[in-house]
Amino acid sequence: MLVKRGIAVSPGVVSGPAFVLGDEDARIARRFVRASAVEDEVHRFHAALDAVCVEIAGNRQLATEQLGEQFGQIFSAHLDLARDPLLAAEIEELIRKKSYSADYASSIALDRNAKRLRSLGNPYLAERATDVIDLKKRVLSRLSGEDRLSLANLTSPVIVLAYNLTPSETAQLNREFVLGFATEAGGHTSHTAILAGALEIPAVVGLGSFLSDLSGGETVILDGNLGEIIVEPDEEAEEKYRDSQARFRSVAERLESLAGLPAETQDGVRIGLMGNIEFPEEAAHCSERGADGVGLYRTEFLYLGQDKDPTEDDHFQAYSRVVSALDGQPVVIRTLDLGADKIPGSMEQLVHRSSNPVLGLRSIRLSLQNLPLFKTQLRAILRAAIGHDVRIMFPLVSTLLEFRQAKMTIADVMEDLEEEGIPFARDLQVGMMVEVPAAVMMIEEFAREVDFFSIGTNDLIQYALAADRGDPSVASLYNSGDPSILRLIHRVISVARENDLPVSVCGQMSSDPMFVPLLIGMGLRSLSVTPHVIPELKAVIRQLTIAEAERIATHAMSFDLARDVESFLHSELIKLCPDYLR
Amino acid sequence: MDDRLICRRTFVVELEEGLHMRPLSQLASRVRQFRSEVRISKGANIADARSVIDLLTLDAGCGEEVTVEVSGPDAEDAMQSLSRLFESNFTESPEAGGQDIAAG
Repeated sequence: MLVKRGIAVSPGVVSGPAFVLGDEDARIARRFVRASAVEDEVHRFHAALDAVCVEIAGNRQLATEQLGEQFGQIFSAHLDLARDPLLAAEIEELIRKKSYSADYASSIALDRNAKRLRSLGNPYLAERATDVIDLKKRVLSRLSGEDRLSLANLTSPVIVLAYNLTPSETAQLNREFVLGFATEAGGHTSHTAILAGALEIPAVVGLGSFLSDLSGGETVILDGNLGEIIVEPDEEAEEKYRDSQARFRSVAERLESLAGLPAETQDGVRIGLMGNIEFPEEAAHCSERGADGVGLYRTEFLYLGQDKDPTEDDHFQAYSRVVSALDGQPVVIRTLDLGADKIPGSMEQLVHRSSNPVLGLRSIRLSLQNLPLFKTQLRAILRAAIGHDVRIMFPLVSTLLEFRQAKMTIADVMEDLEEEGIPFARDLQVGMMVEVPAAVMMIEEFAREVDFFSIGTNDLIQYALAADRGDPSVASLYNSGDPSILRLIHRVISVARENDLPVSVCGQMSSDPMFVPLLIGMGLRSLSVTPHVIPELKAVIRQLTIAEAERIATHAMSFDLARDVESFLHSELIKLCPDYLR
Repeated sequence: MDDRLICRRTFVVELEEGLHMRPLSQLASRVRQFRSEVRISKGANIADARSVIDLLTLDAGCGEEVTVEVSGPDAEDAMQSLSRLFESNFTESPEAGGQDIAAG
């Protein structure tokens, strides 16, 4: 029996056989092939290499068209390497002479060549070595892509175990057969984690290395509430599993009975509970659970998992589906928030070139530098908004100038639509995510120009504490309960209230029941959360009075340390509603 | 070895950045248009000129000498074409020597 602790990112307790996905970089699935399979393996390598060449050529064209010739050049160099006949011959020889798998041969040969370039001590050549490594990743990803595709061909229920899953792989998981998944890498707020919650697949991430001991088929218990996996459980563990599954079910049933009741405190204050969604399909999850609308529609998934950028019509179709599913309830559409851990294929090269992507060209910055891309999205929003309560929200606004430029772009787009005689909605509310500490410092000034605020705690925390949310060695600094974070949030809520501006919290923090009394006590009256937690949060809110929430907030704000804040909030939550906790 | 000619010539690299990716890519794709084998050497290091990555490892900087050695049935034509490339300092238009820019 092997027990591993990771980070719980999507609740639920499940048990089933392991399905192990190889990682293209850290693990090569097979190192050798049978002599009789050598020809097939050579063929497999060439097919993968051809596909990579097509992919690079496509990227080059996209980059040239959208960003100019000098960006296209980046890909020309990659293409020259990919088409190098000696490299291909070297790999082919390793497959033929040593019966290496295409994956292993590519990995060995490309590593060897990168090393050769690096050893010359010329910085220019060291950079080319990075290009060779990039080529290696592309080839391996193509090669293992075949294996990974088998995820789509599952015929019986399994628990997927992998080094990591990309957001698009997660999005493609078949819920019928994937009982849950667990990964070695990843953190609480990685996009994969957010997706798992959205798809309502129990998941644990950040488990650290454990896959090398598994071959697949072992019985696995995955506990998405505690963040634990147990491989080949003994009888005692099996029994415990059955107990916690029963408990999970009974809590779920109790919560379901709340579905028809409003999210209202004991003293009659209505709290707005909106849903965070990424796919149009999820709009239904929101209304089913009694949400008051969509408080955060992440539009990135229109860009991910496909080779081409979405057209105006792709945007329009997706938005129209969401707004009509919400039937008159508000929908807050966040414009493109790409960068760092979520990058569209066509722009990957450019964004990755920055040594510090989280502080680089992403979100609204990327939109403002790619106006055609930005305007395409805005046109679709304005068109889909006719007759509905649609609000536009800009992510990662750092300065007033950025907000003004973004608003100006809306005005430009409206003018264009007007001239073209295309109908569109004119009176939309335009607001911003508050997730950069600089914006919190300038919040009074922003309050004069925006229609609403939404606090994005995921980024706010990582920027305020200067801690990468995906780096396990500093992840303990990344803490929603940190007193500094409480102060930043309190400041935004207070200023918004003084100015009669709507304010909401849409980060992971507001989906954690422990923080709900605190946020309400600070004056927050609207939360935007992962749809599946709505019933649970409703249960918490319905136990609360405003006076009680204010007492909790005041007390929580008096602590010096995150761990004291969290243990206090946790104990208050248990006192408040012991019957509804999972 | 009747149809096998060998030509050898030495050039000085005049490109400021040395033989970097762009000129090497021009060079390699031109070499691939001929049937002859082309080797380029700097000192004791020898590279197969069809391979950009092999050529990169020559690490040929501005002012350094490289020797081009062509052997095969169309060695003279190949050497002429490559000489034009070196002499024009890699600015020669593609028409003069065929398609240089690797087609997308």
